[in-house]
Amino acid sequence: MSTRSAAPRHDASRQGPDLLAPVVAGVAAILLWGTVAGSHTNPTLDRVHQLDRTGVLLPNWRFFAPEPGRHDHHVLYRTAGESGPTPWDEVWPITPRRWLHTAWFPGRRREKGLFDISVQIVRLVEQVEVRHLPRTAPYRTLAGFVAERVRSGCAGAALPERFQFALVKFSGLDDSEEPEYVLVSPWEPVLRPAAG
Amino acid sequence: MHHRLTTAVRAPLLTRERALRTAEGTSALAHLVSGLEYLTREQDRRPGGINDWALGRQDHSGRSRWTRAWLDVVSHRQVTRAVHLCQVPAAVALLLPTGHRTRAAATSFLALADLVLYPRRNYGTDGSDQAAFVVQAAAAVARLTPGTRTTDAALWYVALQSTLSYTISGWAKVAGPTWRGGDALPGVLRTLTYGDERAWRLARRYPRAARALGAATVAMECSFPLVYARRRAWSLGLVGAAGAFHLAIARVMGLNRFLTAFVAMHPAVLYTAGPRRRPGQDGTVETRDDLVPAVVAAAGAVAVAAMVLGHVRCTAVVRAGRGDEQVLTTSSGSVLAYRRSSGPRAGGPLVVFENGLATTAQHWERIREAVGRDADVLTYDRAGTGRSRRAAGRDRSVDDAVTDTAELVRAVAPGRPVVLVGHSLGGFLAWRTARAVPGVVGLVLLDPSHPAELARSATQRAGAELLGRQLAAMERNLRLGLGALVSIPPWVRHLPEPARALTMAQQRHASTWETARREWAAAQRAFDDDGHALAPLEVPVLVLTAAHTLEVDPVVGELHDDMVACAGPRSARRTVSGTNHQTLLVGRKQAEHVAGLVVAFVGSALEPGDAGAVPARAGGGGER
Repeated sequence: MSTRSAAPRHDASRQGPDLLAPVVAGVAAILLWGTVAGSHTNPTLDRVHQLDRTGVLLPNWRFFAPEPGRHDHHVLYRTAGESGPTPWDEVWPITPRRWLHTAWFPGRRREKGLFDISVQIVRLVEQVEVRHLPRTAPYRTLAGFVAERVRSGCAGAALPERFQFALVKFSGLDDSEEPEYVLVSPWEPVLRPAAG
Repeated sequence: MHHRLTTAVRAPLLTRERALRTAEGTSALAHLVSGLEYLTREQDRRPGGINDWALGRQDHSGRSRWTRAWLDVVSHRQVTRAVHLCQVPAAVALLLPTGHRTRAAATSFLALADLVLYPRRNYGTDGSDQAAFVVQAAAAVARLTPGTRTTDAALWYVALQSTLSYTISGWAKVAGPTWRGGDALPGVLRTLTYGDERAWRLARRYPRAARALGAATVAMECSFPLVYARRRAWSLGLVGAAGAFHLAIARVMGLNRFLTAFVAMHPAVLYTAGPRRRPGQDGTVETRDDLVPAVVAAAGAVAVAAMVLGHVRCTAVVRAGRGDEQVLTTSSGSVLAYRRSSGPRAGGPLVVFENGLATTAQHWERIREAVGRDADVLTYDRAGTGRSRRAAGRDRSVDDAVTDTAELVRAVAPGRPVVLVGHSLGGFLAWRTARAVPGVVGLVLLDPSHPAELARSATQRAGAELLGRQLAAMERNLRLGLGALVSIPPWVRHLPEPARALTMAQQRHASTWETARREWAAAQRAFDDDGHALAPLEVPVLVLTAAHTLEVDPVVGELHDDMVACAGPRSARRTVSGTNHQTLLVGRKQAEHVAGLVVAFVGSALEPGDAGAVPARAGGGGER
């Protein structure tokens, strides 16, 4: 690995070959206008993002806009015990804010990931009946996530047979709003079927 | 303070190399933290994690075999871990004063790693990943290509993307009522995910300050293009404000990687916002190549021209229709385009299909084809949709639409029995038409609208308000020429060609939505005029409810039962499982099933011995 200090291969006065700069400029223009085209606030006008298969080339700069996220998405679960179902419990508490998060916050990925999955499941619920949801990838991902928590939470003790999870929207620290139940799953087995 | 400001404004300008290095290094810091964070969260990628590739790969089942094989290779846990591990020294190399070739390798690796791993990272990615990729990809292009012009082009790209990131974010917020009302900031701060308890309590205690802060943020974002206003104080001020903004949200909202990823783009902004000629590193004078803004402007003009051409083509496709339509002008001045086909047997009722809102005859393609194997069928577009035109002038009422349909039926099939098949609002129209046309011997209604649905169902009421706004918004956007941006809705994908292409052209045309808006307003007036009740029918009615519709709103089941109760003998309601409001018509298997039910109903709609005759209106005989 070279540690020469900064003598760039190109110097300030030399101009490069004429062909490359217009090509780079052309690609830049396409990507920039593509980004603009994919920025409409109406979700129906999203064709540009349908066309971008890479996911990174056309950034989506619509942060907290047009409507900001004002709710927490919690995943609750309960298991089926011998004396009936257990009370609902949080699968994973959302991490409260700490100063360290300014520099280092690996948990953010998981929380954002759960939020992304919730958004996809909400969209699926608008299209298909709940009983068909368990075939879809976002549902299976969330169910697998909850199952893993159930298994790891029962260290040593007997595993319950079934579990159920719910996606709930809370209004965070503000108590004034009622929680909204987005989805209550059917009962799922805790143990994965043995791989064939 | 004034002295400090003037000193800042007079500080030396960024050179090309310094701008590139600072951008690379700051963005590398984002990559370093991101890579380390990924490495410490192996469990996210194991079974039971949110990014278990065994499940995530299902999203890519529609892609080519080679793409899927490639994705499986890079998404293998060991490969992913190796890439994240290599991100660390690559990022560190960019933070140190390394040489040009090292930096070229490091930026290329980081950019490629992002590109390759993005599908695998799926859930949990955010805007900072996109910003960091922009910088590393541009830096890689700058480092790999000889000459300074491409470096300037790459820095311009980063600077313009940075400008877009603020401008788009700001103006998109202006479009949101929550931001305009000032409730957005407290709303975000109250969440545990993106909020902070202390900040939220402060926002509650000082609501005016919170509103002002929210407004200031939006103002800063919307006015970011002013960095290019050729005033150094403005450029520095806006970039400084943006930097402070990122620092604040890193602390308050826990968006740590946003600080490094977005501030990394600022050196490029300052480099491109300053004067073209500036002192270089060794006493020479650097001249910045400003090709990119010129190319962007030219490309914008080309894009506008393409949009205009696309709009013209779309109109041409819609006007051409399928090419085999026949045309009828009605007494109200409507010009109706219709298609009919004959079944294998002569005689028997004519099956006439009535479309729902914002859809055309193409929606019936699958059912029409299946029913057409056994019966004579007719599909048409209502006035103002597809190829059909409405007379200019006064607003059309539901009665006008019914009159048009009645005239069409009389012209095409005089004296023949008719079975009407209606979907959604078309079901309501079909009911009205059955009362107006003596030849109608039966109705099949697929997820029909009921005049009482807005009064009896809160879900329908909420949906109705949203629908009205969406129809108006679509019409507005399409009149602005944004048809090319309309994405393909899932139900259109179910349609066979050539109906699919024609349907997309119709969905992209403003006339479809304008007519839908008017029809919806007219329908709501008609619901009110009817007193939210159905006038009774003497003919049999078969109501088919989509299982998903019933699940979302059980009141719909009661409304559909009411339709059966208001209809003639041998009426019935069935729930069709595995369907939603759209797949009831367009799903391949679902359409075959529904078509079978329609054909069976058509066969039984006439009493034996009455084939070809129009039954008497007063009482149909037979059991209820």
